[in-house]
Amino acid sequence: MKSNRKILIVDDDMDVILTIKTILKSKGYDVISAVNKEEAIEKLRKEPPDLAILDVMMTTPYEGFELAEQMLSSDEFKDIPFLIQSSIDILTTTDTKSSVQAMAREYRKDPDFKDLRVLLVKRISDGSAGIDYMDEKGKSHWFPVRGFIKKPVDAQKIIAEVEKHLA
Amino acid sequence: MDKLKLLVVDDEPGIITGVERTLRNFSVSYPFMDEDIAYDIFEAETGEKAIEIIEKYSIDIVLLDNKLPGMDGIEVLEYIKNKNYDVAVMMITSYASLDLAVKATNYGAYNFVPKPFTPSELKAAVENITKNLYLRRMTRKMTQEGKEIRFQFLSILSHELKSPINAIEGYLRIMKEKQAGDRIEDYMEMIDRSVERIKGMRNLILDLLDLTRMESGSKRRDIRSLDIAEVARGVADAVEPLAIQHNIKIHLDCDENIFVNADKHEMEIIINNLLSNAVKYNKDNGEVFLAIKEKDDSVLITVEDTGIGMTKEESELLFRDFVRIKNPKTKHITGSGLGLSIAKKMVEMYKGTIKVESEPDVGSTFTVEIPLK
Repeated sequence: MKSNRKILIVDDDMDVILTIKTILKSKGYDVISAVNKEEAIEKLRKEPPDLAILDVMMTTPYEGFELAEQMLSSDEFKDIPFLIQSSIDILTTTDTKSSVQAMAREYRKDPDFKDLRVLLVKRISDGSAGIDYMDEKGKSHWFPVRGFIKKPVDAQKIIAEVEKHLA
Repeated sequence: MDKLKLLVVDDEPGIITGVERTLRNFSVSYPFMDEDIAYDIFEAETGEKAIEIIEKYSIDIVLLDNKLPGMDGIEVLEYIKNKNYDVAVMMITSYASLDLAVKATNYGAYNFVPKPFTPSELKAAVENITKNLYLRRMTRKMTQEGKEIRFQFLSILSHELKSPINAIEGYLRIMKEKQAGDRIEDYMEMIDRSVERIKGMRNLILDLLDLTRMESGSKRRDIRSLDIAEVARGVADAVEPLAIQHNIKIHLDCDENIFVNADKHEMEIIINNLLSNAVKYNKDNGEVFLAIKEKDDSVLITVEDTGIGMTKEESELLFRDFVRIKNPKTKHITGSGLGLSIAKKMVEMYKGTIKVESEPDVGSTFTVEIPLK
């Protein structure tokens, strides 16, 4: 039943690719991969996946984020869900009234988080999440994400996260 | 012209005007300073007033009389020291005692000038204190910059060490949980990759040792006249096994009797790092050309390959620490990202240059030029 589900892994570390590939294949998924943004876009176009897993730091420090923003703003790829893979800790919030973006703005006011380049924010109750980051030129960005995968890779967690989005 | 703020603290109006007159058109130069330094002069008749001015105008230099109406000069000095202000202080006093001089030195006074003094004595003293302050600030700035570069290096290094550990740990977990089934054959790629990553880590450690020895200057260099062609042949023999695995042919074209005054191990590292890259980043059945030629009192070492090449953007990053060019063509190649930065640093120790020309999918040519004299 899951056998025709295709997942694209974008990561410049072939060991991460091989590890995730092995884990997901054991669950019957089709897995394809790309090592940078350029190759990823080519794969998204030629073999559209059901889900993409994006690493952040590739050839450039925020390449994964750039790819995510490009996917979100393109008619061609905007319906392909993606997860962001990162070793950065995820900030969670239990606030149910404001949007996650507003929560990220609240975090930015806190001196402990004010100067961080990247904030990953997730609301516990409904799982809505997003990323607030400052690019190399000091420009702020915000974009919503489906979810996060924490590095180093843990088989149980990655399977659970993937199944949630492909259910 | 740069200006320093100089404060004269004295209750005798004659001294203040005298100093003002002497330093009004005075400036100090240093051969390596871009600009001469002149002075903006501030005045205070009491210690209390002096502190106020120091805090308000961030004064650089203070000429401080000890005998003042309210608080003494020495107390002002103690205040400056406790606040850790970046101010150079020169004590001027007509009641010099050893006790006071010792105290002033303990509180960090730069020097101790007895009154009365002539204009030229004052100028000489101000020139000295200015140069001392300039060097002190420069040293602090460079130490700070050095710390930042060091921090950057260490954070990249820890990332480079963490990633193979994460990779191998991930593979071991998969094997433990038998994610790919019961047959050992299905794990071979992971085992090979683990071995490869461990090898990479070992090479990183060796490269780091080369780098730290070179940067600390602690490595004993054995400089002697070397037949560079002979060194090149030795390196080519060492790289040969790697070349055979990929069916790559290494061609040597060396002029004989070119002698370079150099450390043999360092020359081997330079040639080895270029030659092993030419093999690693080549295509199977490719070729590598290593040439040693003499040209205009320099030796030219060129290493040309028929490999994957790179774009102009990629080649600009190439000689930096930990830079590895990542694209679909290089994903199976491991390396520390230090080889070329080490080669460049070593070449520069011999006042030489290293350049690269490259074309994607055609190949790259690295040229090292080292002056023979």
